[in-house]
Amino acid sequence: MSLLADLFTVAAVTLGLVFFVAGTVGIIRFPDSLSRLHALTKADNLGLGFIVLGLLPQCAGVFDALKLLFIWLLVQFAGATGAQLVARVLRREERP
Amino acid sequence: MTTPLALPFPADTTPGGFLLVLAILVPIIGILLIWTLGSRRTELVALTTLAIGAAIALAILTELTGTGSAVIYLVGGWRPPLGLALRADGLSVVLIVLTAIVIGAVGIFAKGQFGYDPDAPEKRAPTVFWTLLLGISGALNLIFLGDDLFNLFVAIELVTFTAVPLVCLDGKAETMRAALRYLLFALLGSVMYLLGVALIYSGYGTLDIALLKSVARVEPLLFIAIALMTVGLLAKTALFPLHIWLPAAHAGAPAAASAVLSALVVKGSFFIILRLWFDILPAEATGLGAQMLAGLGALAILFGSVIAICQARLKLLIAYSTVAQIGYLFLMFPLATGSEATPAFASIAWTGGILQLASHAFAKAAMFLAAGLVYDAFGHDRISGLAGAGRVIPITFIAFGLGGMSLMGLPPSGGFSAKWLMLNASVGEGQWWWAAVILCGGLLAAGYVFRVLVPAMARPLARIKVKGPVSRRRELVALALAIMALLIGFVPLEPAPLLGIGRGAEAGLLVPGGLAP
Amino acid sequence: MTETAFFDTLLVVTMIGLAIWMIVVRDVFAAIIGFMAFGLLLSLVWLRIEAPDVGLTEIAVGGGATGVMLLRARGLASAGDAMNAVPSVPFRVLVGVLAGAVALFLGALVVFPPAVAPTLAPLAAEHLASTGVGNPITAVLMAYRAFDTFLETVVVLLALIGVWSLTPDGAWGARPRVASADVPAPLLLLAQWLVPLGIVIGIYITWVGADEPGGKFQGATILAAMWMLVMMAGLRSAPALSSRRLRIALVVGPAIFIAIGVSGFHFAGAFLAYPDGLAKPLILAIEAGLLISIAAMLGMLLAGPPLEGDRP
Repeated sequence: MSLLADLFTVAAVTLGLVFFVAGTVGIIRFPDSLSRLHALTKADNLGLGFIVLGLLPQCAGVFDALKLLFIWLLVQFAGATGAQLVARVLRREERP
Repeated sequence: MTTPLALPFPADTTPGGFLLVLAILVPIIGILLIWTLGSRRTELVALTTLAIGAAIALAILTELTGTGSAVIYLVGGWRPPLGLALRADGLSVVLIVLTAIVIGAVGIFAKGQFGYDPDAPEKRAPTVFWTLLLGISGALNLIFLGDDLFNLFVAIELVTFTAVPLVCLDGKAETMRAALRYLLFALLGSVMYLLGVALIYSGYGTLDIALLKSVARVEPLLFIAIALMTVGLLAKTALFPLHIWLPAAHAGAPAAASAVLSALVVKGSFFIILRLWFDILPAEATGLGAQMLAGLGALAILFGSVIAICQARLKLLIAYSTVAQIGYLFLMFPLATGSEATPAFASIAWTGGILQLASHAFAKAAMFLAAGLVYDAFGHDRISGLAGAGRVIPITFIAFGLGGMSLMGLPPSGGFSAKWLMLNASVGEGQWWWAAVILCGGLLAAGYVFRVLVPAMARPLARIKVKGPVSRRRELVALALAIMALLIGFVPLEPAPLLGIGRGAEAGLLVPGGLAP
Repeated sequence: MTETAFFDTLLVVTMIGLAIWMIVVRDVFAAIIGFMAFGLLLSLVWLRIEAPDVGLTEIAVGGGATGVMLLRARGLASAGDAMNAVPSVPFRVLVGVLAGAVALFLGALVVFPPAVAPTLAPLAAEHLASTGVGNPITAVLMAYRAFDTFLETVVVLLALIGVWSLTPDGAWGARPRVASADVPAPLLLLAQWLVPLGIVIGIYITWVGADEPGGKFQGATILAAMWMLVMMAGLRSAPALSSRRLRIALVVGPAIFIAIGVSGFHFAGAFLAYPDGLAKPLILAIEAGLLISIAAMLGMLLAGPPLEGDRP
């Protein structure tokens, strides 16, 4: 059981890291700001999501697991808002 | 690798110890009251707080001279190295009383200034001024009483955040620039000090100065820590060449604030340097460093005085004179050398240095207040436009002149006694070159003081234009401070016994193996 | 090389690189973002040397509040050209020499490390029981060196008064302006949903500080951030400098600290000593007061002083 949980953790965290690396490459390589923003939020959503998912089996109790999920939700919320705000500024700068 | 910690602090709270807590706490309570009671009572609260503070300072002095030993308080009952101790010896009590007198006098001077009106809605300048004045008094008391290096860090932070806003109280762009520069120097100084504190803690596991004295070893860690802290504190004390923030800051502040900044605030950081060098560093380790500090002091004396002579504005002249007078303080380091028989604090140079500190505080406060009155009377402080000014406001110029007398070192004045003791010490120690600097500095000081006084007292060719009346109360405050600078010249020209209280015998208790109640 | 050594090296190299970049980069905005990232990396260093309390504070204050303050200062200053001013050459040389000397000194200590490294940690743990709290950091901050903590809050209060002293005379007593003219809808949504959660988290971090990493400074920073969010979204305007409620919020913490400290003279034999058995509730009372006061101080520091043209 614990071996299975460990394998799951390794797999999920690795997948999360893949998303972070892809997101980082995207930020550096994508040509325009909106695409870069897209890469950033993807890394936040899926990358952190998979890492949290992978860590869930390692939690000591339900409360700890809930805290982890809560952190992910907060990052989603803040990330989405931040991306929206940055995008607004970009659009405003393009217009004139 | 672990080693035993420093021995626990060897003394308990003494009967009058609670006074030390009050000396720090009362001004803070005053600040909290000013910000909650509303503008109607601002001046009343501030002046009452200063009066109580002065009473506490006198009570500590009485307690100390009565028992003949240090007054100690262990905060929270926790014994260093775990807890914090407050400790007043003869030196600290002299500085606490000095601070109480000068800040009290400045308080009386500043009553009714900055457009304060108890019946009007709260105004910015008076509220901020009185808050910061109380803040400085509490912070300086903490510097003089703190026995823990981190506690002292908090104290110098308090000083920074109370002194800097005073510089730009008038809100002009020019003074804001001066304040910002002061802030940068002060913060850089704080960072370097804190770095040294961290090093000392990592090496000795305690920050209590009394305990450090017994465990400090002659080793790179201690040297580097003390060097960092000293340079940081020098930036705050404005010793040449780190003085470049001082003239604009001290000249730009309102007169009442300049008096406190020049007379007291720069002495706070100097006091900590004094404690680092004489109370922590082993005596055999100070030789070269002491000569370097005094060398910078000598440069400050010569450079500051010459630049002061060239100034066109009175307040800048006084500010550059501060740069010079700070230099004298650093002559203490090579001259106050102790020996087996007589410790450093029993030397004439030690008494001379402290006399210089006190007489400069009184004289400089009097001169800055006088400069403020000159501004009130004539609307400017250009020295070229002050011919005959002394005949309009004679008391103000007498105060300026008496203060100047002390700076020059003419007898009888505190400045004379201080410089005489230092001259004797430099001859006695065989370091005649400092004597030459002291004499030169006196002549240069005469140059910049008489440059203002002679035309001011002369009969003018044309009538000088008077802008407004000058308050007699304010003139008398300036005069009283100048007279104080003279009066302390009457102390006997020998090592002062008061300065030795709480130093010799107790320091012996801290030698490992000598732990006794 | 072990994994942790590899990680540490990576961390240190990244931080040094980031620090150099912050100095070299021309754009002030970029430098501030770099500074905030530096704060986050530094908090990882604190975690690595097992100082989670400091790490939390570093994130909250070094990475968060200070960065926001710098960004706001830049926003205000960019109106003039103060941000483009480059310090004079002598000044830069002076700073360079000083920084170089410090680095040299510290480098020398790596070559000549101190012979011994005594620590007070066992002593602090030994007396932990009598303080009633389980986190030795909290015992240091609220019992052994409570006086320092008290004075530090006075430092923050005086810093706020220093910032307020820059108010133009006519604007004294006015409300600082924080909200922009048009508030973006996503920001409004964030303020409405995040703030209640943030308040809970701020109080929680203060509460657990008694026994685990956390405490009032970190909690108050979160509360101040939430308050700032509310003000930026225009849900509430900043309080007027003359507001009686604001003034009381600012002084309540230090006042409770003084009251309990002074009653220690009588009931526990020393200033800032706690009577037996009452230590924990008294410490909690002080922390509750400080949470309010520090949050108010930080919030108003972030809001800044009223500007020219504001009227009370």
